[in-house]
Amino acid sequence: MTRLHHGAAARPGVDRSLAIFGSLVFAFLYLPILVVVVFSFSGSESVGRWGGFSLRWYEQMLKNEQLLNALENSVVVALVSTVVATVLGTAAALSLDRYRRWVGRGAFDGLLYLPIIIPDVTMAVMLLLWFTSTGVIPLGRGSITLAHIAFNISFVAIVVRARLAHMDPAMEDAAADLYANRWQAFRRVTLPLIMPGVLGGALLALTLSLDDVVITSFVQGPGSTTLPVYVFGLIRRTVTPVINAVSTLMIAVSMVLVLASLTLQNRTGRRTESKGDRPMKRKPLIEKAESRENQQ
Amino acid sequence: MTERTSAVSLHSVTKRFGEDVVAVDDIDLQIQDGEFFSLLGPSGCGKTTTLRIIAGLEFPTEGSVRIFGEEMGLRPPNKRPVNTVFQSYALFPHMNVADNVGFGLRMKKVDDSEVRRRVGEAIDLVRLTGLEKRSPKELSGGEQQRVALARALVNQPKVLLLDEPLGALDLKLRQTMQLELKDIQHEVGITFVYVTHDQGEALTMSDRIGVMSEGRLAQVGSAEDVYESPQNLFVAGFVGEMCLLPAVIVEPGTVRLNGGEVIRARTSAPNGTPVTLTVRPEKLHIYSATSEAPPGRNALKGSIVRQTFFGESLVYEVQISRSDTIEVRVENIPSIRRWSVGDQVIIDFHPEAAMAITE
Repeated sequence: MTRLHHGAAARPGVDRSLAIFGSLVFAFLYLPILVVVVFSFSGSESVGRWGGFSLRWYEQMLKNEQLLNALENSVVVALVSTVVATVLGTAAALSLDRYRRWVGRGAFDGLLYLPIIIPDVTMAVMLLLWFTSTGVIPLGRGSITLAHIAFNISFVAIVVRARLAHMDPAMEDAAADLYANRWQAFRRVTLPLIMPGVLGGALLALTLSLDDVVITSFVQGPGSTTLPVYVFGLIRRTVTPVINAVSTLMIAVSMVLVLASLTLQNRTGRRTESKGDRPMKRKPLIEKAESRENQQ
Repeated sequence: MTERTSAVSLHSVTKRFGEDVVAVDDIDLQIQDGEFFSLLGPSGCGKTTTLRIIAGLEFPTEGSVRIFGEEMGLRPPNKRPVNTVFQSYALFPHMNVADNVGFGLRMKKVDDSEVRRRVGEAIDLVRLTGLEKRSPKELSGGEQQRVALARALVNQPKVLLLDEPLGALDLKLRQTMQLELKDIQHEVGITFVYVTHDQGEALTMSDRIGVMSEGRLAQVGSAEDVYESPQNLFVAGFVGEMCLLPAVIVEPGTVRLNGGEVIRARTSAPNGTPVTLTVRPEKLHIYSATSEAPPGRNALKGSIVRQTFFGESLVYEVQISRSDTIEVRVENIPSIRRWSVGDQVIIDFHPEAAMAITE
């Protein structure tokens, strides 16, 4: 008991220092972003000096054809690779979850995680060597898209598998028992149940694709640069406030995507949680049910 | 009892998982039309696998399954005239009660107004009227169970399969639901195949029971058959409580216990066969050692070594010989005489209450 009192007495101090520490972490993480965002609206030619509110850098950004081309590449690559990776990743997750007895399942399972574990640069070199040695796909938008699909499949598969692990296998049995054929069972029962995972995985894939610099810069071809790679190149040559405007735009898009992804993941988490809670909640619910029955 | 009239007929059905695991071992079984049939057994005895084989969720490694005379072969579950109530209920969490119940009809492309009418009827049948728009998450265990029942019954299956449907409910609710299930079966008049590990449940609800052990059917019969005349030690030990005493048959209808006492019992084996004498604790009476046992009954002397209080009854453990004890269940009524440990007593029972099982 005494110890508890000591603990309680010591807590305000701990709380205060934790709060200070927390704010420092936040400042460390977000001040640079804040600086970039603020100076993107500055009229000054210098990156670091305030020159009054102005949208001239955004204007210049929209006039820069190379930049717009890179943006277009980014969006196309991100959309295509996300759609393909989501379909393939979901299929991989489903097959790993369902068919547990085929030869090579273990190997496939392990290999699926490889793109997440190995360093980006290794993956980039491997992909570049593969593209150049086979020569089937010329370096360009196509090769970038394929590279993004390659690493995104793993991320989608992991997110979808986590969702599948919480699904009662009897759900599909029940659908089959209620006259659904395999496609109907998937379409009406399995897919809706794993949808939060599929969408979460897709958003993750989209974000990763939009952000990727290392792998893209290895496998890109002339004129196929994506936005992050273009910005990286730009910053090495000259530092102009246009970069602030571009960065702000990218931050905004990323934040929207991350927030959407978090919301979906959260919904997933809440569902799982409520499932776990059920045995504890059951008792009062039954009493309620019984009292309702008694009233009838 | 011809094959043609059987609702479900299993012929030499065996199910192996991998090479070593035999879940169901050469089962022959006929379930009659309109019957409430229970498959009773401990976990891992193959009862659920047998049910899944009938449903088409598993296919037998050997043997054949017929439903109303029709060979099922490798027909998938969605093409069989049966529906299942799953142990976990397996309600679709993304659909409300009405959509869950209507799922099967929609898959069968029944038209909308018909679906609505039949869903309404099924929901009335299981007394869930007013909860149509609820999500399964918002229902109690008992209500979820009823939704699962309605979802299966609405399709008017020829056979309803139930896999421990009451397992997750608490005792009170389970008892209510047992009676309700029985009523619903009378009302809809279809064949129920009910899987349970709860012998009390099987005894109260079933027309016939198939007791399963290690993938085989140990005995098939009415509740009374199974309880009063178990055909083997497994059934004797699994269904209800049973005192088991080693004995030897000395002449037809008479056995000798380990301690040398000779008593009368139901026997069918030849003289000299070692048997196990079985007798139900509630069919025994205790008297004080000084009193005279009624004539024509079996009497065994012993002393009380333990008493256990169960509320509605008391169980006394009585040492009748150096190696054997016997349990006596006594109803807890006001006039009953209480015994204490060490009391010398006489246990008495009717010869019909004791049955010798060869094994």
